[in-house]
Amino acid sequence: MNNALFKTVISRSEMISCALCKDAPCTKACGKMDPAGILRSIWFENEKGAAARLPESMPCTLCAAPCEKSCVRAGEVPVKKLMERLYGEVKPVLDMDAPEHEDRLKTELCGIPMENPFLLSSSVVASTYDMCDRAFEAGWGGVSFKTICSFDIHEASPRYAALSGDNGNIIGFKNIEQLSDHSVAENMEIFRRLKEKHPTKFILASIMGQNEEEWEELARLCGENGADAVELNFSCPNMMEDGLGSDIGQVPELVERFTRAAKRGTKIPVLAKLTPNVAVMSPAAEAAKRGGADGIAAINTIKSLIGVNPHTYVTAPAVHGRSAVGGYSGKAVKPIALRFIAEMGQNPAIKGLHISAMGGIESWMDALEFILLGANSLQVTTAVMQYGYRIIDDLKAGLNYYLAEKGFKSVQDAVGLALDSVSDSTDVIERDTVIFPKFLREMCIGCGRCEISCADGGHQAIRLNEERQPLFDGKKCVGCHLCVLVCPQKAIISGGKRFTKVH
Amino acid sequence: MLNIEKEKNGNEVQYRLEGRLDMNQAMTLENELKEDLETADKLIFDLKDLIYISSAGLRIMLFAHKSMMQKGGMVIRNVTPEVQQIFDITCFSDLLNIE
Repeated sequence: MNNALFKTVISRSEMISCALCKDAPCTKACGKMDPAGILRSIWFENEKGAAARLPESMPCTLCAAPCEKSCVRAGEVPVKKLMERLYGEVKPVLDMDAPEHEDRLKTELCGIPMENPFLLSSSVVASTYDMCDRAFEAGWGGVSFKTICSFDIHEASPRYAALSGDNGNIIGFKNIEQLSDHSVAENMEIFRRLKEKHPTKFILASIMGQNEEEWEELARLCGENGADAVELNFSCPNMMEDGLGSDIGQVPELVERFTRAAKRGTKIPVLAKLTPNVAVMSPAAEAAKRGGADGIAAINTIKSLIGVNPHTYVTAPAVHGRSAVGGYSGKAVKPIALRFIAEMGQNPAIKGLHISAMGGIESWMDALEFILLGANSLQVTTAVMQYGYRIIDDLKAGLNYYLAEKGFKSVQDAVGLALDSVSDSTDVIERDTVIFPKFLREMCIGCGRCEISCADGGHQAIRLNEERQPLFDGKKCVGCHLCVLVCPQKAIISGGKRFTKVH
Repeated sequence: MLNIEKEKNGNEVQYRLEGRLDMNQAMTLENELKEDLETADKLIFDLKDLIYISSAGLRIMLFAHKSMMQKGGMVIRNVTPEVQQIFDITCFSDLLNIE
């Protein structure tokens, strides 16, 4: 009965044909409510926030659903049914209305106040005055401005490639883009204008130097021109004598030296942005701290190749028959990013440093995962490239609703709460009991995918009978739950109860 | 509404909860628990007459559970089907010591 309070009722797959249109025709056709906004909330896991802001009485009952007919994929998105389900299954069980304020989201970055913990990360999404201005208007708490440097920047075309899910959405994203192509002076003017118009928004200035003098000078200029803090982009190639082939972020001595140089240049806080292209991140993080860093930002993109063309044998994106190793980002990298953030969160040697986390954040639940593992602020690019600045609506509303519902007074109270459950090795895990799967007969369609996976990837404990119903052999089952993950119907769940293994 | 009955047996404290542990009541329980989490050795929750536990209530339970882990532990007894269902969905069943 209260299921809707504790787990998602409507999954993204039920509205997978929704194109999340700009100026959506469904909302224009409706006139009574904003179905496009509601659908977007469902897409970004903010179903409760959507239900909480529905009009008091449902306008859909006697409606002929012009929303569905006006849809750019007319008839493919069950808008009316989804609204009815929100009214019927979610809205009635909600514990509370939409919170009246967003004060819970207020936080700070190295002592400087932020309206909310969400920043655009350093990339094209935060690369001009106009873009940052629009992002601030949309509700972002800050930006990490695209990396400023004195290199000569010339970009390639095309410069992106993607790993797509079965519905065409981007899951993993690779780029071979470089740094800001504005001059340092141009970027400083952008900072001044942004700060003038948006004094309460956070400007984190990403910089990259080629030697100590440059790191120091860029940090100084950013501090003098309105930046609130500096982020050191250490994912540049190491041009020092003996470090050929590696990035600065992979060499702790250089991280320390250049952090110290940047700190010499400015009094504003300095974050070291670290690379995930290492076995462990702690040596670089501890080096940054020794150099005087006030915080860590992670993860930068992961070195990757994607899509080898079977005819030209060139990987993507191909530029005149050539391509290059590039940075991988997006939802697919989130588990890797979470692991590094937990490593930072658990490391007592860098306790007290601000952790600005990124890597695959799309929804407020992604953001929450990072917060629970120790993140103090959150950065996003890939999801913004795919969906636009507007995703901030559900990032803020969803997180705010969760915090209010859980009884947290501030987002800061949730930081790091998951860290005590994370172990570096699997040795500490209890191994004397099993939880069997439970088959929900009413949802099973008899496809037999559980039998196939259990037979070929498990322990041969499931067999379909003649009515195509799965029969379960508790003597063979080891409780691995592969079937739970594989079932296309979500008709297999955890049985919940542990049994001691019989040896 | 939530009724909280408390019984101390030496270093062991038993809480009997009756009614609904909703968002507001979770705060009441949190305040009530504060001292016992410091001083008690073992906590027992008798949930025989508890018919609802909110997300905020779960947070308090988890906090209490973690606080007692280094000591004599926390035990949950007499869970109603309504609350058991919530414990199951949220995976609390596999985390708390439910008798």
